Amino acid sequence: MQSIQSMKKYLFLFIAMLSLPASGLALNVGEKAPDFTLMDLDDHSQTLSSQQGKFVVLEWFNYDCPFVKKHYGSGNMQALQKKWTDQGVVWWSINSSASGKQGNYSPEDMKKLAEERKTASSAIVLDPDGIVGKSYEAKTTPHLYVINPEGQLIYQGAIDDQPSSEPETIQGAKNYADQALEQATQSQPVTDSSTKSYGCSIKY
Amino acid sequence: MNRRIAAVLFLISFSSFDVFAAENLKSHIKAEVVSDRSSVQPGERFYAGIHFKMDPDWHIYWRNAGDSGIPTVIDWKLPEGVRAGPLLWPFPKKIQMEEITSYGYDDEIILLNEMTISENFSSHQLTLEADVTWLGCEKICVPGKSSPSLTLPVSSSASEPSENNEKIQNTLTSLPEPFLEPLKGKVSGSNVTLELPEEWGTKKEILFYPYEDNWLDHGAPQKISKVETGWVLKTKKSSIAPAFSDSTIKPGIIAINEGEKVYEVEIDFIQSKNEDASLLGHLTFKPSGTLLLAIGALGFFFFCNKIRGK
Repeated sequence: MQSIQSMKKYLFLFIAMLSLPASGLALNVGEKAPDFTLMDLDDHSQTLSSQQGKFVVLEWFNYDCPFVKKHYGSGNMQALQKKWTDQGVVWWSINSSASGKQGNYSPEDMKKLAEERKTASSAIVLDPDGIVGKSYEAKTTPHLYVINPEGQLIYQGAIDDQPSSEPETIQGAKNYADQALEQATQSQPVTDSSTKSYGCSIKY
Repeated sequence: MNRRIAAVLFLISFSSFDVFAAENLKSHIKAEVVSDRSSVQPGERFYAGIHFKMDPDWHIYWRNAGDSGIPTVIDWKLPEGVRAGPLLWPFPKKIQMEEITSYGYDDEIILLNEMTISENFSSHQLTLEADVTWLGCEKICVPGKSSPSLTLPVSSSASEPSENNEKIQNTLTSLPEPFLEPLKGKVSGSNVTLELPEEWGTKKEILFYPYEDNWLDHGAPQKISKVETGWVLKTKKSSIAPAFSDSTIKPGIIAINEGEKVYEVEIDFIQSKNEDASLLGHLTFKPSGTLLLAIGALGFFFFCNKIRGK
């Protein structure tokens, strides 16, 4: 009798699982941002859900990618990181390069590289298994995501509207990530909430 | 210590972290100007283009780079009296790197333009020069830039084919042909369905490559299947696709059996919101599984009740 009850319970669970939408993996703006825990360079674990109540920026990077160099070499990325972390936004720079692939460094080496660049993010977190990158469908470096205090994704895509590795294109570019943060922090709807990211492929 | 050794050591100590300076900017892609003529005559049309040669495993990108990468750009600097037509893109390869799907070219490719030289062109020489930019990628990516040129004599006598003529003719035959009728497309949830002409149904492989980079899931499989109305190609929409309007037209190309035939097509989408069509779209996919499950569940309950009855 009891076994039949538990069988029914499993069957219910089984049906509940399968009735999830077929496209359940696609991540859309407006949906809940997938939770994760990753280690930062000081060996502290960082968990997205523990940042509820704050805006969070996720920035995929690979210091050896020319498109990332464009934004770090010019100081553009660091300026944006400083501007928003100064206002209480949590900014995590995420590296999903797999071991042995371009842009993958040990935490110690990554720390040196970040210091050389005066990276101003709240933390640099490492995702060498690519699990978090894949759950966000992060495709390129750079690729930026903005999450609101309720934990919903409100922006995903390119840093700006200039898909080029030339630093000269930064001047006058429309910075989508900055725009999303400006609008969302003033309780306005984000106008360009999903854009096509540009850059090198993430080295999963 | 010897000064030279000190300098070398100093350089070595920096080299591993020196990312701002040019690391390994050796070009893996060569770009040179080619023409189908060895001399040109005022008033005629001819072809000129950029011949890209890639190192093994390196590639450059198509007009739509896909998930990552940057389209190759050719900006001709032509003298007065010479005009370039639109850039002619042969159909690209799908480049798959883990989760990321891009479109591009490896090995070698010629990107051509049709050139028109006016009747009154009076100079004895024509220099065809272009500013060419590309992103070359292997496992890593290196942006490239060059301004190659080719100077041809201009003569009043009939022009002669060049040594590159055969290669250029081959490239021309591999370009997409215009397909006159737009194909009908349907979007329902994340499913994209393209209606195919009847005669394509028996083809082994049909691949659609969109010109715009932001609406199709570049990595999703594209399957030919038979429905009541005929043959269709089924694939997926990108999660970042902007909303489709009542008659969204999406241009692209269709390559049949790896380029046996390539067409430039327009897909005319009728976005079916809550209409029958969208319901049907769902029926063919999700609920069929749910239906099976429901039948299974019913059977299971009967089975459980039967055991209980005993």
